[in-house]
Amino acid sequence: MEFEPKNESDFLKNTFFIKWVSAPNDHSNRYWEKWCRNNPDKMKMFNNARLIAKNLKPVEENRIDEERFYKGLDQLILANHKSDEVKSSRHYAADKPGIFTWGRSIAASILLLGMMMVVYSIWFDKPKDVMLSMSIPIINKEAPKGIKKTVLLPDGSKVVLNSGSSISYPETFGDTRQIDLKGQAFFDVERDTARPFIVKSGELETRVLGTSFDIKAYEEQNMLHVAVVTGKVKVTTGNGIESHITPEEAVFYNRKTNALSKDFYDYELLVGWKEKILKFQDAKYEEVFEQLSNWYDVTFIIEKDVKLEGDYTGRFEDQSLKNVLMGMEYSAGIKFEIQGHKILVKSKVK
Amino acid sequence: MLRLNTQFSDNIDDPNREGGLPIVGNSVSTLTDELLWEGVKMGEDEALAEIYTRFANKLFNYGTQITHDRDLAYDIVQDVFLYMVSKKNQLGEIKSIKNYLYSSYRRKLLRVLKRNRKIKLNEDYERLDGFKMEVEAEFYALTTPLTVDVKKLLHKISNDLPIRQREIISLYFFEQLSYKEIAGIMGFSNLRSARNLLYKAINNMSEVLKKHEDILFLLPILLNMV
Repeated sequence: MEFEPKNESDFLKNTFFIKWVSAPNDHSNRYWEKWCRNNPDKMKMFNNARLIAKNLKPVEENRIDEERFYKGLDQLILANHKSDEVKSSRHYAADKPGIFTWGRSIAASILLLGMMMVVYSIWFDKPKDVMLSMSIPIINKEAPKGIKKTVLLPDGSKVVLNSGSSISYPETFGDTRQIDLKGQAFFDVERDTARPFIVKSGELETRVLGTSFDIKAYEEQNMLHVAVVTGKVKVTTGNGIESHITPEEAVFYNRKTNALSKDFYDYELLVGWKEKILKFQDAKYEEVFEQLSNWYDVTFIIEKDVKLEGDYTGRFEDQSLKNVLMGMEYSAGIKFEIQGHKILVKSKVK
Repeated sequence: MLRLNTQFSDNIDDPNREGGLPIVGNSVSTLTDELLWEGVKMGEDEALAEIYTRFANKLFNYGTQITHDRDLAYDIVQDVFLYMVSKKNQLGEIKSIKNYLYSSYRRKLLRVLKRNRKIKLNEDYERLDGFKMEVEAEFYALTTPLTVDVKKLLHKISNDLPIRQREIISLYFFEQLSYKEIAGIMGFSNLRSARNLLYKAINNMSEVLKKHEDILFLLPILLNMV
């Protein structure tokens, strides 16, 4: 279905065009660049339409006045806690009216949660875990290369396994919910304040009560990460470094230097795999090939005269291997030849 | 008072945002609807505050285009969110939070307006001059003496279209909702009628613009704007 506009209106009726004008991304940029190259005769129309779409604005943009806005938000948070009380018997400081608004008391309850996690980590230590693993059968789930898999845990938590990863966990959970992970997985943990959820992955131990987060810890790779999407997470390394992370934040662990660092992260780069988004930002070609071979279950064979220099940046959403490779050929000085599960990497200039 | 991520939410909704790459360090902006919705269902304050920050002002503005009563427009915003919270244990899966909020907002607002006899049963608007739009004239202003004419013309665009067409254009261009979502929000029986109305609206709008092609379209090219 080729897009063949006859006038400016036809552009404006194209949803993809409108989305591109107001929120362009790599993919749509590439698409419209290519479209312009192929349709030089329609450039005037294209530019006119883009101009209209870009500069069309509402005359009014009414906003709630600030005081009312925050009052409304406080009211909402209060209601959120009220309907919680039926389920759990948590007590919040703001039962006393005045002094604190609900906004502040969230901060307090998050602090409390953090303190509770520390207490758990002191009280519920190793011995119980050992007893647990002796008596209850252990379940293993694996997502082989080229495949992603969703696993539902006994407590209702959801785990999405990335390709080439596996988890193991007891058939029923005891006082803690303990999982072993090899590779990469996204966890959406059911809230259970009485039973901390613990993931062991290589050198990292991640401890939470109820949140969602991503862990990457492939055995053959040097960099590990834990990235938080919602809630609060505590990560401890084998050599005893501890870090608390909150949404937007991730910790990165370097196996060579045993160093743990905390930073903000790019969602698509770290967790995009879950939504079939492959994204590379200034990545070394070796890393790109490693990830692609895992994702599509292929092996890359690099020919001798190929020099892999520089970085690769690109983004693909739910694309076939062929399309990804074509996209890479476009911007890198290499070309690919697909031979079944083998991909030959060749130099472009011969 | 709670001030969660206000700057960021302005940021993500800014249609002028240049470039496609999300900035590292601003990554909550890429939190998917699915995850936020899960958060609300799990009773997380953070997820709730995030959604409120993203949408409360937008819904309020939407309401004020339909009714003159600003207090009512605000009350309905609260109603929509409080209802969502009270039902959080029964909420199902949804594809788009924006779609959910806009549909329930419009439905609730119209119900109250009808009950209070502000509008008739078959009407959708108390205000008839809402959803006006203009082509932003700022960038002409610096370089051309035509500013006044252009401004006049640009206001004309919105005056010529019926309000229903202006609403659909607003939802499509400013909220980037799909035909299907618009059909749901505005209560069309199917996607095709939403698309037909939008096509009609865009054609009408283009027609007005076309009459003034010389000012609108030639100038930017001369000025190397594109």
